[in-house]
Amino acid sequence: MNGFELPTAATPALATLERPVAKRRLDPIDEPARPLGAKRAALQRQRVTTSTRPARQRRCGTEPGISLLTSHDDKVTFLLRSTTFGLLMERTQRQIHGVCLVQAMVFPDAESFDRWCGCEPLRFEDGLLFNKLVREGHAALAHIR
Amino acid sequence: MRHLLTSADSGDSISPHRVVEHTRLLDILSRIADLGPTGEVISLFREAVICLGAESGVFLSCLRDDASRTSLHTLWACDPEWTAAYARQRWFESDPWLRYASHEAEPTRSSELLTVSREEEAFALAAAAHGFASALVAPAPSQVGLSRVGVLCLGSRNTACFEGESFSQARVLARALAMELHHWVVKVMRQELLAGSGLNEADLELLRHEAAGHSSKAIGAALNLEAKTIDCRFQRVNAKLDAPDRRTAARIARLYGLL
Repeated sequence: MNGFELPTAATPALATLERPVAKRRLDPIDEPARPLGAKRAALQRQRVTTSTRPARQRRCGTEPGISLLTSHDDKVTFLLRSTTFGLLMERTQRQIHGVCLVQAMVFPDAESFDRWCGCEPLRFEDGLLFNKLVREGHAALAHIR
Repeated sequence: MRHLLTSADSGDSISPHRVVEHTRLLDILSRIADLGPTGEVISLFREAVICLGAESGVFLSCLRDDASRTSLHTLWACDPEWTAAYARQRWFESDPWLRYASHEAEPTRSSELLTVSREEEAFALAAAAHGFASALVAPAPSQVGLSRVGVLCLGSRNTACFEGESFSQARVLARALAMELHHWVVKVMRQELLAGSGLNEADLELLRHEAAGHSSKAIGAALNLEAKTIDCRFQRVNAKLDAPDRRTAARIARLYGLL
């Protein structure tokens, strides 16, 4: 017999099972959200339709160098800002249900801005706002030049 | 201007132009994450698109807040008419690039992207007419799976732009650009949510408890408060986040990386 001893494995610590505190159901974050019940969905719809403007809109309205234009039905918002790269525009299209589309783009010159204006759907839906948008966009681009 | 990944450059020797463009692209990639203003990011995005041999670029970041609300934040460096058409035609409802990115993580080409409906076919035709005749679609997956997906699409009027050997290099760089842009968009959205909602540290602490699955009673015991007080506080947090209930509020906070 040799003098080697067999290695002894340390006794693994017993896993202590604490009393579960997570009693509430958790939504899996990597899956689409669960649909709301009929009552809750109706309540949420009512809240959305009666809510006032988001805080961001109120804040931007007072910041210098930023123009915020909103359509009469509050569904489309334009945020204009002069930058050293051109006219920055953020167009936000909201719906009570469905997708909220935010498009950020920079117009380096008046030509590209006019090309966009020629296709913007709001030119028919809210002519007054569209005219104001064109005026303010051109004024901002002139200021950049 | 000579581009980084034109087919003419596919030989073994690396031209000085290519090295310059390559270095510039890496510089852009390293700067995007730390940038603040949107204008500067779009300007760099436009430059990166050209470095990659494309003429047009669109980045879309889709965030599914809750069952009834999806936000699509997009950056556009392309024909302005395509930007307007995308909103007017509501192409986001039948966007094959976004659909692909929701299920796949590997970059692909438009020539390999199968359309599954008439609307998607119409989208492909409209995109081709606006500078995306050939397109490279690079998804930017996130740790929250389907709840937050980004996709970068690079386009060219040249139908052979992303065909051939150049694709193997372009896909690597496009994926890096997609991930950096997605990271920046999420950072900005988080900042906007924090500034707009007025959430404070106590609110976030409550949401952490909710995300851990703690009941009002357990949270009240931990904070030395009544369970009803906890419920009242959650009502205010829900209102700040415009969420129908506290589970959704916790979900939104996790999606935006607040917890």
